[in-house]
This record gives sequence, structure tokens and C-alpha cells, in this order.
Amino acid sequence: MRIATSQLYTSTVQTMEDQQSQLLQLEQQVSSGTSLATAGDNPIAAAQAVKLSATSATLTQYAANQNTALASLHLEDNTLGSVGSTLTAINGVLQSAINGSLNDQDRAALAQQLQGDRNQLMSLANTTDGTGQYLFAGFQASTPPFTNQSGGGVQYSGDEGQRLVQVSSNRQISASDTGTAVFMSVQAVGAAPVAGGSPANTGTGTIGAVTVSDPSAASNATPYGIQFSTDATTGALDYQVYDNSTTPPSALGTAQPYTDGQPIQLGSGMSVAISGTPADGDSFTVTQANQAGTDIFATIDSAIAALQTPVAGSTAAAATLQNAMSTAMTKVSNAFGNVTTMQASVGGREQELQALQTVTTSSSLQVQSNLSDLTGTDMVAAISQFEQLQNALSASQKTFVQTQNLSLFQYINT
Amino acid sequence: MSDIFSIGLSGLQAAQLGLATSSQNISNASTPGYTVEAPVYEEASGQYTGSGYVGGGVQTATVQRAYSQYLTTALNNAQSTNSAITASYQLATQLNNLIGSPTGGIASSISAVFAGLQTVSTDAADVSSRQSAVSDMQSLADQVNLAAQQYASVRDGINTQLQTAVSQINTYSQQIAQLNTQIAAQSTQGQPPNQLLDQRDQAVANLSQLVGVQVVQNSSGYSLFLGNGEPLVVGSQNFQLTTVSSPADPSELSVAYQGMPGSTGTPTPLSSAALTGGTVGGLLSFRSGTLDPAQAQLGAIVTSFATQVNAQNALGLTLAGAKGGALLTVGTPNVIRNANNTGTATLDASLSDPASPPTDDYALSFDGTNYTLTDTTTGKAFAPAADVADAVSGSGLTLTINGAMNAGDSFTIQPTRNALAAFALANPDPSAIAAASPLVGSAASTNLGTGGVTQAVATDPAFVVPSTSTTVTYHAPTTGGQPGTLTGFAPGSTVSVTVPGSTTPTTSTIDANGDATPPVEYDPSQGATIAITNPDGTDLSGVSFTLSGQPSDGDQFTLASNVGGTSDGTNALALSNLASSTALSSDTLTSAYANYVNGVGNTMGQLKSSSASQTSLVTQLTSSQQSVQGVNLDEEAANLLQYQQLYQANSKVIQTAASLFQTLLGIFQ
Repeated sequence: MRIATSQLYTSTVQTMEDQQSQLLQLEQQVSSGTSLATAGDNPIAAAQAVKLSATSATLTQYAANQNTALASLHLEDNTLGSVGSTLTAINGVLQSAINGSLNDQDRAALAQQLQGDRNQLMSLANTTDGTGQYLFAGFQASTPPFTNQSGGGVQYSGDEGQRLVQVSSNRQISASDTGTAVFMSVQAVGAAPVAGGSPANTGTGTIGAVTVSDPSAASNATPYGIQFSTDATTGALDYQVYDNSTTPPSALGTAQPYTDGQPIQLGSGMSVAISGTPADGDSFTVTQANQAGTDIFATIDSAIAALQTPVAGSTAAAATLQNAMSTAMTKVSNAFGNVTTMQASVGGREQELQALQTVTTSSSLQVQSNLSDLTGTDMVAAISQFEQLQNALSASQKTFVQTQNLSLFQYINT
Repeated sequence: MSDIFSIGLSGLQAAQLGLATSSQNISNASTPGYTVEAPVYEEASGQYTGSGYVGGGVQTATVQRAYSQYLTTALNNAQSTNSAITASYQLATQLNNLIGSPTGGIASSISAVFAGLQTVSTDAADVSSRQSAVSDMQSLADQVNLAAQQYASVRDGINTQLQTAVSQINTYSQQIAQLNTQIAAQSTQGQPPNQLLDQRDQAVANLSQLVGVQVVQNSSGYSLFLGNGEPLVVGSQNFQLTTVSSPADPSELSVAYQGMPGSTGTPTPLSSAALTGGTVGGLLSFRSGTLDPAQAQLGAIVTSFATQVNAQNALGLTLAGAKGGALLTVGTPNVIRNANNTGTATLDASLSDPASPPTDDYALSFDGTNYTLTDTTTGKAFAPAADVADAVSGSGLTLTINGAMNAGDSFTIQPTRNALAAFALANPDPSAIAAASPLVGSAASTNLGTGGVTQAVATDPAFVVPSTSTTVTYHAPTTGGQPGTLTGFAPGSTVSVTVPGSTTPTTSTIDANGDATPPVEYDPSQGATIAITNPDGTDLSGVSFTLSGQPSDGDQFTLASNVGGTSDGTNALALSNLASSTALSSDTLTSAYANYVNGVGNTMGQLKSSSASQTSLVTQLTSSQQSVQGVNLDEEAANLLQYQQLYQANSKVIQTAASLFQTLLGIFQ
């Protein structure tokens, strides 16, 4: 075929230009390590890269959230541990307070000790995290959640908000618990019913611990009152069980004769024994734990008040003190049970977070590796391609020089 | 003897002409548009003698161009398509670079905003985390605004290129018309003016690269017509094109037909069908086929983003305890009144669902009776209707016409063209992020059951959460196996209970005594989401909460105002979870952006491969055409030698004749 001489030049130049631009592109890929610099390089990979980078950013954020939640839960875990040991100490004080050999001064000293423990509990309840946010305040974390109330107990000014943290795509974990849940609640299941005597009692009757024979009995929810009276005709001491949820309290069954230490049946699922000799008009109560006043501070305050009241040889006063102490011990024990349950729940969340951290780290690595597979340069392929092109270009250059030397004019000499 | 002289002389002349032609070929070996020439020799007529006809030497009939009309036309057409693709490809490269790395850019800024909001949700009271979320939004806004500027600059670039191309087209068509005249004049002497023919062919080739033309060759020379048959050159007359700002969109120039030079008539805008191929065709098809849709698509993404963020922010409380306002500014649809409208009507356009705006541009026209909405991106027309609301139904637009449209009037509606430029931070105050839910739900601590309240949130931006809390009480069923009931809702409320897995709520109304018809039922085995609305404006309204677990009879649940709940990040969490919301055409924002990147990348990839194949077609056609029309220097070297020898041989003839003459004269000595 006939070739136009100018074509020899233009087509070779064009080929060399193409080869050079491909060389430049490969050189850029190798030096930057990125083969997917713009969408046009590989549109499908580019779309995947957009999604993968978003996933990667989300996973990084989940990892940060997990750390935040874990730090917060660690702090709560430690705080709950201290609350538990304080409650144990309080329980110990109450145990020693029922020792009959103590005199009024000893009890006043114990009251001092309890006051100290209460102060410690108060400062634990108003714990702040690293940024000054109150741990047990719900959403109202910028104000101290617990303040003392005149006349005992505390005022909770936080709220019931649970601070949820997104720790994975479909899991929000609560990074805090409210003050109400920790300090002013008992567990609905497993808390012992609270038995107590009226401070106005004049007899020596002391109420023992409640025995729950059927925890599922519906009658257990009823607040019971036990009222003693002397039978007008026989002169015997009788007791009558009342349902205190109505006003006035309604009698349940008929009055029964009282025998010291004999269990008194309350509904179908509970019984309680009263020992000593109650006087006519003395009354006792048995209430479900969560209806008996669940504020641990109020419990301690009333125990302190009872310890500070002089007994001084009065058997009635001693019985009242004993009743107050056993009520307080039941409530403290219920509160302790609540705190340990909370601590278990916090620990469970910490474990879940640690497991999630592992999962998130490995997903994150996987996404990163997928992303670099998509966008990174395959060095081996790129460099060998580069070599190949380099050879091709130098061959083009050599053949061009050879070809353009071939001209008939070179052989025409005058 | 004299005839030997004259034969030798004719040979000398022919050899000289041959040498001249070869020299011309050699000297123009690199001239663009040059067609190789060759002398056409023929035998001169003979003379009768008794001994037969004696030849009269050689004569040169003409100098002929090795011109192939078929190959030249094929090459011109291929060049025309190639320059269209090249123009589109260059612009697509620009657009592709504008998007930049798929792992960076706007998508990563959107992810950063959502990540920032999640940090806010974990520590809502911390102003520094809010500030960094606001900075993330600002940096997104900067990037989006930059994209708007880049789109505008690409559009300006197209306008400038169109102006240049149109002025070049006018120059070439004028040149071709003049050459037609000159060629006609000079051909009258019988010989073709080869040099002028070359020039005219070259001018046609140049013109083909600017716009696709049909070339018709006839007695008056070349006539050139545009795709729709409008003439550019007819014989000695050329017609002019001009650029005018498009009546449908003043920011874009369109090419218009001016008519004869000096014509003062109003130029007629040319349709895209008239301007296919060439740089002009490439620019126009890129603008309408790639640039406008891509900008609309990105605009839809940011409009949806801003709308969703604003809507969710309005469902929360700011750090100051106030209802959340708009965090971002959303653009409104761009409405352009056609410059040729005769009616006085103006058009207001809004988006039916700004969280999922249409990505196409529309035109509304009126024929005197019916309104017709046309999707100008796809070319699909909606069913015409006499009522404008019916005519635009299904387009995602809400249009209001003020005043009367005349028949033939039209409007262009660009739903998201303004979105990129208008995207901005509405409130840079970090406390404006409504991180908190307006209400907080809790179970009373005296409850005996395990029922709990979660997800107490506002569902309506017009929510009302009074400062006094609402207490809902659970009543166990009197007979087993029945759901329990809930009471305590304010009189006048409407309470809707949705069980998981269902989308149809059971709705109860509360009468003045607080009694519900039908009773508000709660089935502890399923749990339920309970929504409350109340029109009186003071009771709890526009909120919902989720109840789960098994409450005991008489258990109470409290829904209280969350004013002061500065550490609540519930709504910030909901804001950050918009990342997985599929409100935008059933797509998340990230995958919508991925589609956008993919779309531009695909266009670029297609143009790249079309460009490569078209370039190789042009290369092939060029070598075919050049193999006929180009100069081969070796051939010319051989020709030179051949003509040189021809010259020498003829000189010898003359010398021989002279020597014969001398011999004859020598007889007399």
C-alpha cells in the first residue's frame, strides 16, 4: 500500500504520545499508591469506595463511641463498687447496734459513724465524670442530682433519662444509670418485704424477718398492718391483720389470739413472727420492699434518728429501737441487692462493649483492606506494565529513527 | 527535421512540467490539506504523410489532483464525531476531577457530619463536641458551595467555547462561499484551480470539526447544510450562526441561526437536532446530557440532606431548652420564565417532598387549554391537563401559577439547580443543635412489674410537652389472655397504638372525662409504640413512646418535660442515624452520592472508550485518505529521476536533430 510520508511522522508521533501518557499515568499510580484517583478510572469501584469510606468512617465513630461508653461504665462500675462497700459498712454498723449491751453513748457513737457513711454515700451519689457531668443525674447532668432534704432523706433533682450511645449499627447501649435506679429503688423481684413496728408502740413486741413461702402469691403485694388489742371479755391479747392500702384500713379475717413467736399468716404467701409482749394498741406493718420507702438516704436518716433516741432502760424503747434497726437492715440489704444487680448490669454492658470492640476492630480492618484493594495500586502489575510500556516506547523511538533514515533522496547524488 | 526539434521540445516541456509538479509535491509534503498532483501526459496529434502518420510529440493535458471524494467525506464525518467526543471528554474530565477522589470530597464530609453528631449524642452537654459538629457542617457547606462554583465555571467555559466555535464556523462558511465564487471564475478557462480546490476542501474539513455538516457538490460548488437542513453555504452565499442566551435558561448560551450576513432579524435558536457532531455538538450534548443532570443529582442530595437534618432538629430541644430550628439553608427550585412568553403569568414552584427531590429539570408549557409538564432531562412528557395540579402530578413538584399563561408560553423549572449555591449553615451557634428529646419517659419506682418506657420522642415539629408530667397507668385485664389497658391521657387526645411489625395503628380518642373509645390497649407480650396528639396546644401532643415488658396492675409510667436535660443526646443520635435513612428515593445519602460518582465516572469511562475507538477510526481513515492524497517522498524522488532522464533524453533528441542539421549543412562545404 502506498503510504504518505507525512503519515509516517504523524502516526509514530501519536503512538509515542499515547505511550508517554500511559507511562505518566502508571508513574502516578506507582508513586501515589492510588490507582483509583478519580471516578473515571473505575466507576463501579468508585461507587463502592464511596460506600466503603462511609462505612469506615462510621466504624471509626462506633469505636470512639464504644470507648466513651466504656469509660463512662468503668467509672459507674467503680462507683457502684464503692457504694456497695459503703452499704456493707452501714449494714455492719446496724448489726452491731442491735447488740443489747450497748449504752446510749455507744449508740450515739454508732450514729456518728452512720452519719459519716451517709456522707460518703452522698458524695458517691453526686459523682462527676471527667468533664464535670454528674454520673447519676439522668439528662440533667449539669446540676448535682442529690440534695439533702430537711427532715431526712434526699431530694432527687435529676431525671429518668438514660444516656444511650450508638455502639454498633443496631445497638444503642445505656452508658449511665439514673440516681433513682441506683439509690432510690429496690429490685421488684427478690427484695425482702419490709417489716416494722410503730415508734409509738408501748409494749416489748419485736417483729422478725418476713418469711415468704410463695413469692408469686398476688396477696404479697398488699401492705399489711397488724394491730394488737386486748379482748374486752377474755382479757387475752389478740391481733388483727389489716389491708393498709385502703382508707381506713380494712380488716382481713377475724382477730386471732396472740402467741409469742408464733408465725402470723399474711395473705397466702407470707408470714411473720412477733416476739415479746406487745401492748394493747401496738401496731406493726409488713410492706413490699418497693412500697416501703426505697430512698436509702431516708433509711439511714431514720436509723440515725433511732440510734440517737435514748433508750435508758426502757424495754418499750429498746423494742422500738430493735424494730427500727431490723427495718433499716432489711432496707439496706434490699438496697445492697439493688446496687449489686446494677453493678452486674453495668458489668454485662462492659463485657458486651469489649466484645463489640473486637468485632468493630476486625470489621474496620476488613473495610480498610477492601478499600485499599479497590483504590490502591497493584504494585507488581503496575510496575511490570510500566516496564512493558517503557520497552514499547523505546522500540517505537528506535524504529522511528530507522524508518525516517530510509529515504531514496539519500542515494541521489547529483 | 523541424518535427524532430518540435517533438524534442515538447518532451522537454513535458519533463519540465513533470519536474515542476514533483517539486510542488515535495515542497508541500507537509502542508495540511494538500493533495498530491500528477501531470497527465497525452500524445500530441500526428501529421499525415505518405509514409503514415508521424507523431507530434507529447503534450500535458492537465495537472491532476489525486482526490478521493469518498474518503474525504468519510474522514470529515469521522473527524466531526471525534471532535464532538473530544469536547465532551475534556469536559467530563473536568467534572471528574471536580469530584476528585471517591474516598474524599462531599461524601466524606457528610459522613463526618453524622459522626460529629454521634459524638454530640454521647456528650450532649459538651459545647466543644457540638462546635466540632458545627465545623463539620461548615466544611460540608464550603465543599458544596465550591462544587457550585465549579459547576458554574464549567458552564461558563462551555459558553465561551460555544462563542469561539460559532465565530470560527462563520469564518469558515464565509471562506467556503468565497472559494466557491473564485473556483467558478477560474474554472471557466478549462483547467481546475487545484490550489483553490485544496483550500476549499481544507476549509470544509475544519468546519466539520466544529459542527456536523452535509456537503452537497453541484455546479455552483459546495453547498453545506446543518443537521436539520438549514443551509450554511449555498454557492457563493454564506449564512451566519450566532450565540444567544437560551430563552429557557439565561445562564446558558444557545446557538441561533442568524441568516445572511448583515441580517438584522431575530436569530432563531437551533434545536439540538440541528447541531450534532463537531465541537459545538459535543459541548451541547455534554451540557444537557451530563452536566445539568449531574448538578441536579448532587443538588438533590444536599437538598435532601439539609431537609432531613432540619426536620429532625425541629423534633428536639437545643442546649438552651428551646425547640430546635433549621440548622441548614435549603435552596428553592429555580423557575425561569421563557423570554418569549407573551402572558403575564409568574410561576411559584416548590418541592412536594424536599427529602426526596426530583433530579430532573422540567418545562411547563400551555397550549391555550391544557398544561403540559415535560421532563427535559429524559424528554418524557406528563399527561396534559387543564388543571396545573393534575398536569404536574407525579413529578415531585408543586406549582402555583399567578396570572394567566397565554398559549405557547412556557416556564423552565430546575428543582435543585440552586441547591448547591444556596447550601449554607442557617445557625452557626453550637447550642442550636437540638440534641435532646423534648420529653423523657420513665417507669415509677413503686412499680411492681417489669414494664419500661423507651424512645420517648417527638414525632411532629409542632410538638407540645407541658411542664406538668403525664402519668399513664396500666390496668391488668380482668380475664386472662386479654390485653391490658392504659389510662391517664389528657381529655381530647388521640392515642394511636402500633404494635411491632404492624404499620396500621389502633387509634383511640379520649373524651372530656378522660375515657378512651375504644380503650387504649397494651399487650405486654408484644410491646407497643404509643403516639399522642392533642389539638388544644397545652396538653402533651406530637410525641410517641415505646412501652415494653410486663407491667403489673396499677403500674405507672411518667412522660415528663425534658427542659434542662442538657445531657440528653437522644435527638442527636436520631440526627446521626439519618446516615442510614432511606428518605432520598429509597436510598441513603451515601449511596445516592455513590450513584452520582458512578454516573459521572461511567460517562467519563464511556467517553474515554468512545474517544479511543473514534480516534483509531480517524487514524485509519486518515491513512486511507493520505494513501491516496498524500505525498510519498520516495515516489517523488523516483519521479524526479524519471523526469530528469526524460529531460536528458529529449535534450539528446534535440542534439541529434542539431547534429543532423549540421551534417546536412556540411554537404555544401
